[in-house]
Amino acid sequence: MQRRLIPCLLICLLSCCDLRGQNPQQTARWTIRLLHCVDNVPAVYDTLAYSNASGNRYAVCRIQYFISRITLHARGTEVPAGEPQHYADSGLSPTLLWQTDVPAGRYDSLSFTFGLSPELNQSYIFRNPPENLMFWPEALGGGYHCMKLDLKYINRNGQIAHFNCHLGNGQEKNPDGQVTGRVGNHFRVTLPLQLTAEAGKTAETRLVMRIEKWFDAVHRIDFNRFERGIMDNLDAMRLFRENGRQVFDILTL
Amino acid sequence: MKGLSLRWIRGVVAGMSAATMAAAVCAYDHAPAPPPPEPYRINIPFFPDGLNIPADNPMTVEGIALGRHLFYDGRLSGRTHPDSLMSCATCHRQEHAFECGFHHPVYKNGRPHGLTGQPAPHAMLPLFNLLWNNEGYMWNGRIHESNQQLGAPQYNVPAEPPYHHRNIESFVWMAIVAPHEMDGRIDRTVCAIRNAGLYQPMFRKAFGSDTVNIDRISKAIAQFVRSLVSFDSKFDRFMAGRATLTASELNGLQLFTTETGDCFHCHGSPAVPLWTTNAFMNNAKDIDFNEAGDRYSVTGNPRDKGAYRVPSLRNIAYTAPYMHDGRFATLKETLQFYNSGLQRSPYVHPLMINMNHGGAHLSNQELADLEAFLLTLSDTTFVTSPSFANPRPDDAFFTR
Ligand SMILES: [Cu+2]
Repeated sequence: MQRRLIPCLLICLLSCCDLRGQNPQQTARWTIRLLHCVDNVPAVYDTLAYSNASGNRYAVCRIQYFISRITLHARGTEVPAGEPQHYADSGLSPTLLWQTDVPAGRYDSLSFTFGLSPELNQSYIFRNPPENLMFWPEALGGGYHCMKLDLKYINRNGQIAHFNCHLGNGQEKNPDGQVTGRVGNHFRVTLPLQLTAEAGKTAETRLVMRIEKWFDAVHRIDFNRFERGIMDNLDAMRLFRENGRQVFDILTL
Repeated sequence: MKGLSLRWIRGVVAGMSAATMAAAVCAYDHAPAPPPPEPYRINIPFFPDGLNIPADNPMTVEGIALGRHLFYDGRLSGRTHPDSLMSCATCHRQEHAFECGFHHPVYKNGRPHGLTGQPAPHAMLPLFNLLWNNEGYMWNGRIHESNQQLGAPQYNVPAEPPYHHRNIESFVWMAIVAPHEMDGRIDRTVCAIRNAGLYQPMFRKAFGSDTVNIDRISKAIAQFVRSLVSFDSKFDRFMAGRATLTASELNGLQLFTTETGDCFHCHGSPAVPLWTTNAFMNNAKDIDFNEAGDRYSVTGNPRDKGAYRVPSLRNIAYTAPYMHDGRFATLKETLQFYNSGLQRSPYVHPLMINMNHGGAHLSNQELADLEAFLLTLSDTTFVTSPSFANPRPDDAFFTR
């Protein structure tokens, strides 16, 4: 009996080292805490306290967005985590904490789709608020907003103006204005991670959105150029999408 | 969109604990307890799941029937003289989606006043689809489950549980005592209803015994108000593939749901068929905000200054005048305001992007199309349904 027990214990101890050795029954709780920062400090909302790279003085009023197909990676193995999509809203604190059970083990990266991945982004799939309020009009391509980031800024006339940084499906049109194609402005984000999820315990990852990077990561945005928003502007949404690939970081404690 | 069918959800409203209720009231009665009331099953269209029904007041067929009578009974004012009758229906008229209507014979320009002549401090809000409002009632959302306030000491309403400020039940006792409404006393109302001679069997069926009290009166009326569901407008039928829209209506929909008109972010869309987000927003009507009843008065958050409920656009054609203070008499005036009358201030909700230019600046034809679309949200079935009408139109107490 004892002779059998020792190898079993050895196998258990060894299997803790990475995901492939894990007993799939052994799960850990994994929490993602969503944080929103501007210039490396937590965002303070509704104050015209920030300046972007173009020199626009601006305030962040609120951020609402989807992330979907959250996946943990361990040495090339993918572990889909939790519900297919998650809605985050700076005004609803419960949405800023996302939890799921994952197989215990060590993970080396995290990936997710910013916005809803195409197979999820179908009009009318959400019947309940707040998700259904993210509706993206059929006339603009249908589905749901990837993000509503609502700002105020001081425009070139020195007046308070509004800027809605809303990202969702774009539509390509021919010279006659007929729709010829759809451009999903969702994008995949992959971030390195050192996560050890121990069976029966909770591991936490802090995922931070650096809001200012939406305006300067690749393309420098002057709010005056787009004036009030980007929602029905294919080119503007592309610029934001390309900036958006760099807005997320894992915050190491 | 045209081929999309409106999914009808047969929702089952939580069954009541009839046995508990019967046991609680049998101490008052010697007669045998009646059969338990029948849970009210409601056909919910393509609406959200979250119904705002307090755990202690499940909807029942009998409760709604009683509430409908009380809603229309002028003795709710606690008086029986013909000049002193007032009921909920005095101002909340079915043909106006349970507002008073702009051309009311007594309340000129849709501005109601109480029995003493004191005007209401705000324009009316209609009564429909309140089941799906979990954000708080009234223009500022003060009536909300989180509200701990009890009673109204200035009107001798005691700080006891029936007199909470949390849900539709609250409006009943508030209407009785408010000087700009019935200006009455709760004990007199209970007495008038008790002495009316027709209610005891209805209370028995709804609540298990003959006992008439303000708690039961409030609960029954709240049940009836929750049963007021509007889901059969022309646009609903269009979404279900049972109606077609004209070119003008379709263009109006297009303007409504794109950045051109930019109405949908706040007022909803085909995917938000309540046609409101039930949020509170400052919609750029003014520059100074000193009104005591705004959202700021509830939250204390400066961002809520001058913010009021975003009303549903369902049945909007029936509910003039518009805005919290009723400043616009017609839909055209209201659309003109959004077209060119927006005022710039730091408190305007960030979603109001047309504030940057003072409005949407649509052409007259586009405004006409937008209005044509809004009229497709009128639910004639709702405003004519016999289920919601005065149950005793020939009874003098019920004619007000
Ligand atoms: Cu948008």
